[in-house]
Amino acid sequence: MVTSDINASWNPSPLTPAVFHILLALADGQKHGYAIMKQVDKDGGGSLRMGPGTLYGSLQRMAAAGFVRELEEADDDRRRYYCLTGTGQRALDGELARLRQALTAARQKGLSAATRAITR
Amino acid sequence: MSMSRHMRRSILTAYGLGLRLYPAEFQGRHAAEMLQCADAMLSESNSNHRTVLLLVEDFFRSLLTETFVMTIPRIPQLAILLTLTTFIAGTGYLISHQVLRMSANDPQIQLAEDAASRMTEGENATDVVPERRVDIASSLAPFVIVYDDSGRPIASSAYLDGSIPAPPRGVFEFVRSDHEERVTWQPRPGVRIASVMTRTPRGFVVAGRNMREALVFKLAAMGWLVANVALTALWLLMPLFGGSKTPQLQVTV
Repeated sequence: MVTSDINASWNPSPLTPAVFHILLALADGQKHGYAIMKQVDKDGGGSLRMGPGTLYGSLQRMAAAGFVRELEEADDDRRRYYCLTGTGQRALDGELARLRQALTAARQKGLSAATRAITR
Repeated sequence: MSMSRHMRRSILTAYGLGLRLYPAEFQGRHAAEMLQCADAMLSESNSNHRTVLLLVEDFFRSLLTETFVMTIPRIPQLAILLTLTTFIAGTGYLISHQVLRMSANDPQIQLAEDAASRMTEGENATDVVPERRVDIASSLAPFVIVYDDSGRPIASSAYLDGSIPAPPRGVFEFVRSDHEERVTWQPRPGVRIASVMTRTPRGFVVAGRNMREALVFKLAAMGWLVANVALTALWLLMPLFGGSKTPQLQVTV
């Protein structure tokens, strides 16, 4: 299948923390800006807080790069919704695989912080 | 600790005003939602102090990023504008220089011919030279120098570093056969003299004056610099304008 070939060969550059966390926040469905911010905060365990400027600047560039797509409809508060595209999903998968590999390597080297992160 | 309604409204007003500093395109697209987000963050935050700090830090960081991102694609535009001003300033300089050069000889022709005529009538070299001494490095006043037939100065109103300047040897030889020559010479770097040399029965008369090239160049350079600084400033500020709407502050407390 062409799709699986693309998936197998997907190896983009490492993503910035903001882009990675926005992709992760959108992984379980479409969200508006503030919902993405809250999800990023939650996913990062409070260690990564994103402001509106960083969020919308990142979303604009991610949309231009084809990682996310802005949905046509907006809610009552005129908030725009965003969702992952196929490219965004593959970028997220690639980044998660990279992180997994890094954590495995860290565990093999007996690095305590990484081991704690894996076992948590 | 919850924030007072007045305090929250003030912070959001300041934030909304700050959003006007973003490039117009970004502002028009995201400012309203950014303001909504800031409002929601302040409403739901447990630590207002931390939230305000986050908003301030995020504001400055993203303002710089977005301005920079919007600026890069417009660099060729600035390059074209600066090339244009350089071309205009350069052309202006060349035209002024040419006009100045073309009219630079007018008084000297008259001075040289008058002096030569008076010497032909029998007056002494010292009588045909103006009394006023001219330092040709600093003064723009016309001067007269009389040389004998061998090209040795015998009377002069012009001095350069304490001595009497002389045009290149070839000019004397040319005037010896052709009677008159208009020539620009440079007795030392930075001093350019527009002069007219005329033949007399006993030698040569040179009338000349320092050209104003340095001044013209300074004016052209100044014009170029001012135009470029103004254009660059305008170019930098341009993204702030462009018909974007200012975000409406709708605080719900």
